Amino acid sequence: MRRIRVGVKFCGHCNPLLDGGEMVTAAALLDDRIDFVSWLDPELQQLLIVSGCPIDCVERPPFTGEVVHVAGQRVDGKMTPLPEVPDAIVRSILRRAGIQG
Amino acid sequence: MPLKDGKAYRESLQPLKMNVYAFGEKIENVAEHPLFQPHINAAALTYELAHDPLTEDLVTATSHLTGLKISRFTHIHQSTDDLIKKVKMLRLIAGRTGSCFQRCVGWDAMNATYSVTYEMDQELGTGYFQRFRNFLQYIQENDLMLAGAMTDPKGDRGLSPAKQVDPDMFVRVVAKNEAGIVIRGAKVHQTGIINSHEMLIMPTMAMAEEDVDYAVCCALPTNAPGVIHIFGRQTNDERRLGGGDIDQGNARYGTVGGEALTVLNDVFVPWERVFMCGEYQYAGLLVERFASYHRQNYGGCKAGVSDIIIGATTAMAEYNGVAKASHVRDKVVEMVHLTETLYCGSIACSCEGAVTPSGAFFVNPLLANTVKQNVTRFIYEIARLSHDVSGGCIATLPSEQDLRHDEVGKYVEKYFKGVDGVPTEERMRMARLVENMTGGTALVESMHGAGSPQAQRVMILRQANLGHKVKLAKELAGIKERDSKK
Repeated sequence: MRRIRVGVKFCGHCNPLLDGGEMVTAAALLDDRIDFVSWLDPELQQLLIVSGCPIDCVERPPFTGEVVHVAGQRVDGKMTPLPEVPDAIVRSILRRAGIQG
Repeated sequence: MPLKDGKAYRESLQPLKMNVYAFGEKIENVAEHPLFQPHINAAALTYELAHDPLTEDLVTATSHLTGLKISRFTHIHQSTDDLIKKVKMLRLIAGRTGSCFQRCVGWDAMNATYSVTYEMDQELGTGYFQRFRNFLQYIQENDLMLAGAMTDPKGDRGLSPAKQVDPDMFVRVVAKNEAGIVIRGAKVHQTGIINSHEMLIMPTMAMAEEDVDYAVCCALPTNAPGVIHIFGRQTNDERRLGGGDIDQGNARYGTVGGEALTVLNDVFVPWERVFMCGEYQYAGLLVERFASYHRQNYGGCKAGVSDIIIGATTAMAEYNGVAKASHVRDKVVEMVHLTETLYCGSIACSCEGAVTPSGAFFVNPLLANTVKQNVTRFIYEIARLSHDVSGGCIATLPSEQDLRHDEVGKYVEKYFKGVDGVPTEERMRMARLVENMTGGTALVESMHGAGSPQAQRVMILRQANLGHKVKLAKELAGIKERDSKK
C-alpha cells in the first residue's frame, strides 16, 4: 500500500502551548502508513499545519489538497487533551485519505 | 547563495581577520577565542534556526527585491504582519539564548536607512535610495550579519557635534574625492560588531547646518583598513577563560550582545556605499526611525529572556522547597504580568504600524517608545523578584572548582543542597543562570540599550498629541474655545 505523504508546516513556535515537533514525532510512531515530510516536498498528498498556540499566525503555503490543522490544543478546530493530540492528527489524516483508522 | 547555517556563519568569520583588542591584547583569531564564543554562538543560532522546520516560518522571509527566501534579519518589512513576526521571532530566539543575539541592530539600521533614503531622494533629488537597495541586495544574497553603528562618544552632551572641543566626538567626513569619502571618529557600545561582516554607520542625533560634516550614513566592512575594535568588559567575563561551565551561568550564550568601542581612523568609504553625506536635515528622521524600530524589539527579546528568568526562578523555588508558598506564586505571577505587558506593547506598536512612502512599514513610534520605557523599569523589577524568590545563594555560591574539590567538595555538596531528589549541582547551575541573567551588564543593557530612558521620554512627548487631550478635557469641563484674534 502506498504511504500517505503529509507535508508539515510549523508556525515558528515563539511561545508555544504545545511542542509541535514532539507531537509530529509522536504521531509518526503511531501509524506507519503515513510519511511526515517537509511542506516543500513536491509530491504532497496532504498538508499538516502545526501552530504552537491558538493565535495560529503561521503563513499558509499555497496547497489545494486536504489540510489537517493543529493550533494549540485544537485539532481541526476541536479541543483535544494534549496526550491525545498525536492520535487525533493521525485519525484526521487517515480519514481524509479515506482510510479507516 | 543559499542561506548560511551556523557552521557556514562561523567559517565566514575566519577570513575577516578584524583588528580586535581585548584585555590589553590584540586578538589573533576572534572566531576561536573563548571570550567571544558565547556571542558567536548566539549569532550562529539565528542562522541555524532559518533551517529548522519548527522555526523557519518566523526566521525567514521573502525578499521584496529578488523574490528569494532570505533571513528575516535582512528583510525590509512589507506589512504589519512582518512587524509582528519580527517581535515573535525575537521572543523565540531570546527564549533559546537567554541573551542578546545581536542581529536586530543592523536589521533596524537597514529598515531605517531604506525608508529615509527614499524620502531624502524625493525631496532633495539625491540618488541614495538605489545605492542602498544595491547594498541591501548584497547583504541579502550573501546572508551577511550587519552591525548597526549609531552611538557616537558624544563628549560634552550639552554641545552639538560642531561645538565639541574635540571634533572627533561624533563621526564626521574629513575628506571627499571622486572615489568616495574618508570618515573619522568612533562608535561606542557596538553590539555584535566583532562577529559581524559589515557595519552601517548612521548619525546619532538630529543635526543643524553647522553639523553638516557629521551628517553621514555609510556602510563598510568590519575589517576595513583603519577600523579598530576594542571589546567591552562584561560582568564575570573572566569566568569564560577558566575551566568548567557552571559558574558562567549561561556558558553557551553568555550575557547580552558583546559590545565594542569601534574606532574609525580615517576610513575610506566608496561612494556606492554612502547613503547620506551632508544632508543634515534628514539626520533626525533617520535617528527617529532607527530608534523606534529598535525600541519595538524590546518587548520581544526581553519577553524571551524573561521567559527563561521566570522558568529559572520557578525552578529555584521548587529546589528550595517554597514553590507552593502563596507569596512565591504571587511573585511569579507578577513576573509573568510584567513580561506579557512588555510583549503587549511590542505587538501593539507593530499592529499599528503604517506604510512609509518607500513602501516599507514603520512601527507606531509612540507605542514603540513606550515599550522601551517600560523595559527600563520592568526588567529591573523582574530581576528583583527573581532575586527575592531564588535566594541569596545566587550571590554567595562557591565556585565549580570547590564543588569538584577532593577535600571540600563534599561540604559544598552537603550544605548547598535544597529539597531531596534535586542534586546540589543542579541547584547551583540554576542559581548561576539567575545570577547571569539578572545582574550587572544584563540589567544596564535594559536601561540604556536602544537609547536611555530620557531619549524615549522626548519622543513620547513629541508624539503625545497633548493638544487633542486638552481639547477633550475642555469639552467635558464646559470650556469654550476663545477666539484667538480677540
